Amino acid sequence: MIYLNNAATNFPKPIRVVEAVRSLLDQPPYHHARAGFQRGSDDAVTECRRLLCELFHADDPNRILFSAGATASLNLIINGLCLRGRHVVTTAMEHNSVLRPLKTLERRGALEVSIVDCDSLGAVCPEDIAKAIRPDTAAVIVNHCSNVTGAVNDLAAIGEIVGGTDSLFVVDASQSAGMETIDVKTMRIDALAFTGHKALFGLQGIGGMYLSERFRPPPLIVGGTGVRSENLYQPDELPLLYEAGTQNIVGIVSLLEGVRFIRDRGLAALREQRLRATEAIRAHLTRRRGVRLYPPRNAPPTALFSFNIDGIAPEDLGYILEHSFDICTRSGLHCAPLIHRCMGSYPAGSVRVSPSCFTTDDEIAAFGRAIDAICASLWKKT
Amino acid sequence: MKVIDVKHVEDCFDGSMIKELLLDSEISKEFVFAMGAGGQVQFFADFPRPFFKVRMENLYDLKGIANQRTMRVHLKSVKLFALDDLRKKIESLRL
Repeated sequence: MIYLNNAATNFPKPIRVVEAVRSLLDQPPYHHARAGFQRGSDDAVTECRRLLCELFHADDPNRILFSAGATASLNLIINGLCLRGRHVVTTAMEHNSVLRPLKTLERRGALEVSIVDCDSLGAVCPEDIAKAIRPDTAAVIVNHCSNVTGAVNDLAAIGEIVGGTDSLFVVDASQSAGMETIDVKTMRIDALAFTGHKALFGLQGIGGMYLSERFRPPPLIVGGTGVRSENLYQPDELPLLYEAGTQNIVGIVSLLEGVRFIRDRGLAALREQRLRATEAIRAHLTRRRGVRLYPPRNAPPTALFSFNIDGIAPEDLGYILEHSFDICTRSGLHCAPLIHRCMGSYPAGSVRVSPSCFTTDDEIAAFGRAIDAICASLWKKT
Repeated sequence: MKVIDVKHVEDCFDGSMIKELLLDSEISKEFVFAMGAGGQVQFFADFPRPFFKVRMENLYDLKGIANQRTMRVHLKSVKLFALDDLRKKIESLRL
């Protein structure tokens, strides 16, 4: 199987991630907060928090909070916005992990949502964000990197705009964490949601968020923390406030090794490998007639993209790639319906191609041959 | 040919549904064209594993890989043509 669906979940994992998880499962479980030096006080949980803090250029590792993933983080963040204002600005690039919590709150009358369209290259124009902000805007929520087109928003420019207002700047970094440079300080980000199983190389079920000093939403889940057990209320300190219940240690260990892998290999180098693979695949498609690319041919290089071929539904194209050619892509709306309206690919969606830093030239060539065979059969009109 | 197992895949927004069917024997080209009689058939024989798609307007779409025992069906309207109707049609084919 040629795996080109890394925007869903990264595969393969770096060997060190697999080995770390295997090694953890061979040991008796221990609670990191209760373990002494014999178990290593510089435990995986603390170390993972510290490395993520470094990766996002944050000041305080305790502002890195673990969750079940970006959706869990975004639900906590978005539900906490109601206390700050009545209006939220977001974009047509968003995933349903942003849109559905917002629309659910809007339906309840708790919030009003303004949605900014993306431009012809698939990104959002910062000036359009500025125009949408109102005096009662609680937050601006922006996807850093589209999971459909790979287009990357200019967070520094948007952060500059939002930072000059009373609104919070919330970023969904599901695709970009581990691939794009994120500096929560200079980008003036108040809340950053990330998942562990994409460009951070961890397992499904682990993710987290960064919260700035300006934003302290109420926790969605309270309960045991393993410490401060005499207190009948959730401890107010970070990270305990947001980490009730048994931690996903297996997930955190996988994430720790994933972030170490990025640190050792270099974020820029890994990103370059993905861009190179994506561009090689795009270049092949560009030469074929009847192929529509998202973002279009004149867009800057991206780490993933989508496409359609005239005369075949994306769901069939994805099915053929998987079942006839053993190539795993993803077809449909990719849980981001609004961007397809901007691109003209609604309601059928598109086929998404998302290689990884491990994608080989042979795999790219095999994808090209598969597309050639599909196009040849289509034009032959059976 | 008989349907020996059915796996539910998806309930669609428009009330249609998608199922995966397991058949008791491999899907032949003749079977595909028989199922598509009166409708549209695409059969891509040149692929490493030949893909087919059958469209029977307003009733069902079928797709799958020839020489395998599974195929996917999109039942457009269960009032007009339900899974049992498809099962009967498959079993009634004499190839």
